[in-house]
Amino acid sequence: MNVEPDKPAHCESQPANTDQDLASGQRPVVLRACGLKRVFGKVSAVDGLDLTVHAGEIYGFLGVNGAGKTTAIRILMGIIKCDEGTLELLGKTTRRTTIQQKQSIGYVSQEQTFYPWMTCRALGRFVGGLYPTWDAPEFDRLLRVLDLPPDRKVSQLSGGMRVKLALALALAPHPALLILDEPTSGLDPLARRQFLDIIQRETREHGHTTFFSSHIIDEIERVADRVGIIHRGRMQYEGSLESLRASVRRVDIVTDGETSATRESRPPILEPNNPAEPRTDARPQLMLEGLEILRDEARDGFRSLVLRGPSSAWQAVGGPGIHVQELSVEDIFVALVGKEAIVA
Amino acid sequence: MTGTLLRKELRQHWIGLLAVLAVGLMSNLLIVAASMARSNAESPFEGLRLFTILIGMIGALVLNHRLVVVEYQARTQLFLEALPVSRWRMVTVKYFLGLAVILFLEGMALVIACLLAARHGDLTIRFATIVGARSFSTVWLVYSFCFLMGLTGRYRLALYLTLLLTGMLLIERKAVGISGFGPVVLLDARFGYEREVVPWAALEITWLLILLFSLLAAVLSLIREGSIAALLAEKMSHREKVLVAASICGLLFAAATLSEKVKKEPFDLKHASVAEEQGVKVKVASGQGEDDPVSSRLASHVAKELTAMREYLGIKELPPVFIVRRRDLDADRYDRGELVRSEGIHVQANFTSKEWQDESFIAWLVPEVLAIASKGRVKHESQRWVLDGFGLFWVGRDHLESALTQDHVLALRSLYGAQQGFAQADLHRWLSFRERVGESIASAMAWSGLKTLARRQGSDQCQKFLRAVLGARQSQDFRVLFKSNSWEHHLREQTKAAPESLVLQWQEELASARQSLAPELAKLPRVSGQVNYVPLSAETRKVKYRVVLNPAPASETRYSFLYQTLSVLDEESQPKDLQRDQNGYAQNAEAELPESYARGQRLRWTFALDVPTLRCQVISGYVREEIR
Repeated sequence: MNVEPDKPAHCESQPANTDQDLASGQRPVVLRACGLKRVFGKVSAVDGLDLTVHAGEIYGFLGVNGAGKTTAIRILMGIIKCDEGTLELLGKTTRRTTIQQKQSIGYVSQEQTFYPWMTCRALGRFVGGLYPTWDAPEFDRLLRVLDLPPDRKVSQLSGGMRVKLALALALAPHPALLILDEPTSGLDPLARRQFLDIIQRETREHGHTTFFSSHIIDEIERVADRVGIIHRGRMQYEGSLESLRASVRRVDIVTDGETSATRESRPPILEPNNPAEPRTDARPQLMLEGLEILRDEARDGFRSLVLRGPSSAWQAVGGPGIHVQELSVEDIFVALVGKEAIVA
Repeated sequence: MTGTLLRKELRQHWIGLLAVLAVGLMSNLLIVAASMARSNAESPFEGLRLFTILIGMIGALVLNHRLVVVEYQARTQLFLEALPVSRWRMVTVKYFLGLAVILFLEGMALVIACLLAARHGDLTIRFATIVGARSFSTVWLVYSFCFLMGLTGRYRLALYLTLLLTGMLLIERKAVGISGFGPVVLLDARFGYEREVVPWAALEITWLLILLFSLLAAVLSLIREGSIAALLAEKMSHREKVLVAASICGLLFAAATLSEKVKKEPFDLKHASVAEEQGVKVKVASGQGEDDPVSSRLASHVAKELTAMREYLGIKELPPVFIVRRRDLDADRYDRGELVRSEGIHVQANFTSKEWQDESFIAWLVPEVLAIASKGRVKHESQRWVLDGFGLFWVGRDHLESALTQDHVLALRSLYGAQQGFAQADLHRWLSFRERVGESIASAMAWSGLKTLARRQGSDQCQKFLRAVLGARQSQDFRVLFKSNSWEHHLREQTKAAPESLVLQWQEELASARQSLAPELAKLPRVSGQVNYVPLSAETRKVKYRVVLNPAPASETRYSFLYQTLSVLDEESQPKDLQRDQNGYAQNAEAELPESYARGQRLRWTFALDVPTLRCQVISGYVREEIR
């Protein structure tokens, strides 16, 4: 389980696809970003972002609006450059994605700004000229599969059809990495579901490595093998959804009328486990070793905590007056991205 | 990758590119046809100059709108950026595609102009290269500038307007002189005539500007990952529209106010006698104070004459006239000073001389005043003869319908001028005619034409014609383009007479005068001569000349060789630019100029002789030629 995001130093000392990785059965790394930073004026859009995407997986890149997802993707695509940090893309380390690397990436952007005068087929011909691995029959197949009329002009396509066209253009050159930047934003629920089905089918059938950015948790839960949660330009979590669910739980502690106003004046119920100084207080006591408080709220008669920690740390949590509950991914996401505002 | 982008641009803009090429070709053919119909004397490259100015500018604007503005406004460059294409390649393909089209168009026009020039046999590789360098450089410069402006997105129109207005304002205020500015020099009057001298300084400035604009365009399109250009291409907000409109209106208002102020600042002459009539103001300064009787009399006389003329021609107002005494001038020589920042006419004359003649001065002054009052319009060649003849016509207005011979000297002058032949075509090429016979003779010829008109059509019809040609207010806007300004048009419109019949009547009047003045005319000397360029070295020449007077004068006669080096072939030269080499005919019918000249320089020369009977100078006719 990977609870803490990787540090740049760690990135530097551990290049992608080491023998150790491969020997341990891990899938090879397609993309690894280390310490990416990008500042616009006084705003830090991406602030030391680290992430790792393995071959064949669907990586869900989750974050609220303005978290830095699109900026991070634009850096990955080489559309903008990062101020600091490095990228390991398809086995090559670089500061900025090169044209050759871009030719191995399929990209569906948030907004489709195709040439409106081109037909789907003409657009395919134009884009195909820029990819050495372009597979024209595959593009035709994708148009058929995605139910896109080849001779219709882009200006006459609906929003959903444009996204599908973007997907066809992205998949036709058989990319080693498919990057989708909130592709379903603006689509109606039916079109969204259809699109997600296509993504799942295409990536599973053809083994595409997919980097899927979204702020909609349902989507990510549905398609992603691993997720990265970004907030304020930094990675808050990276790992599998199962690990995420196992590592973050809610703990309710009976406090016998403790409120947030009285909490400070009374003896603490949360402290690190210290056998040298056993507590004499009869109230329930929570050992915090290895756990991080994400949320702490006082309610009538009990305190509600959201904690994050490895499985081993959770084994010591329990006892009279302490109730541990599993959380939905959405609750975990809210706890993770809202922790600075809530935790004192 | 470049090929893919190029194909995309061609597919996207093929209609626009073809339209630019077709319109360019059509325009070029029209310009060439118009140029050929107008005159054979004009350089074929004059049409190319017009084409470069008009089509180069319009073509660059259209191409950059299609290639740059459309792409950025539709934000389709974001799609390209997501593809494996570098931003610089995308911009470079656009830049060079548009450039290739506009240079192809210019090249086509150049080839056509060269073919025409070759027909005349005056085309050399060096000449064509110089013209090519001038035209290609200026077109490239305009194209680079438009490309840069295209990247300024929603502000481009406001910037164009602001630059245009500011430029016009500065030029009008004479704050900046653009005549010596590199790109302007490349398209100046020498464009179609400069065969030898490569305008390196102007070319260097132009190339530097091309580099500057291209670099700025590159910076604007690439800086901050192209986000600046993308932001600039977004549509204007309502607030921005209001701000830009208000700024431009403010600039227009400021320009108009400033321009108005400039016009309200006339030149002033201190300690001068003043005579003022309705719409006319004359100041004369002799250096003797405001009450000097000579100055007062002259001021009063000139004011009366100008007022009468103003009323005769129906002109609302004439520019103020400032006359200053200059003792070193001959009594029949008048010099016009330049009033750069003020309104009015500044004249230097020796009006206290004993030989001073008011009539002669008025005959000289009237065309000058009319030229200024019409902002130079009446000096156009299509009606220039009317202006040239009007001065003499005006001072003889008390006997308009009398025979030519009543003005004995003027009649002799006009007959002298007509001896070498005179036809309606000479009226079309009046400036050439003036160069052939000299200003005084040409003015007398024109005078005889106006006299003929008055005699044959009547004074009233003549006045109507003169009012239309010299007095009518001309539109200040585009309507002027649709109005014919030729003397023939005005003659038909005002007097219902055909120009051909006037010329016939004119020739009849001259023939009639010739009958009575033939003996005197036969005694008048004809001047001719030739110039030889003697090589001193491969590149330097000595100018030797030989004059012939026929009939040979009985007494010692002095003649002049008038000459000047030319920067261009086709411009009107001023008398003050001429140099004079004077000799006695008996001793030195052959002489040489003291200085030597470089091969390839151009010389304008004539022999001149003062003829007392005519009370003016006659010439052999100006020759403009290259020193070989």
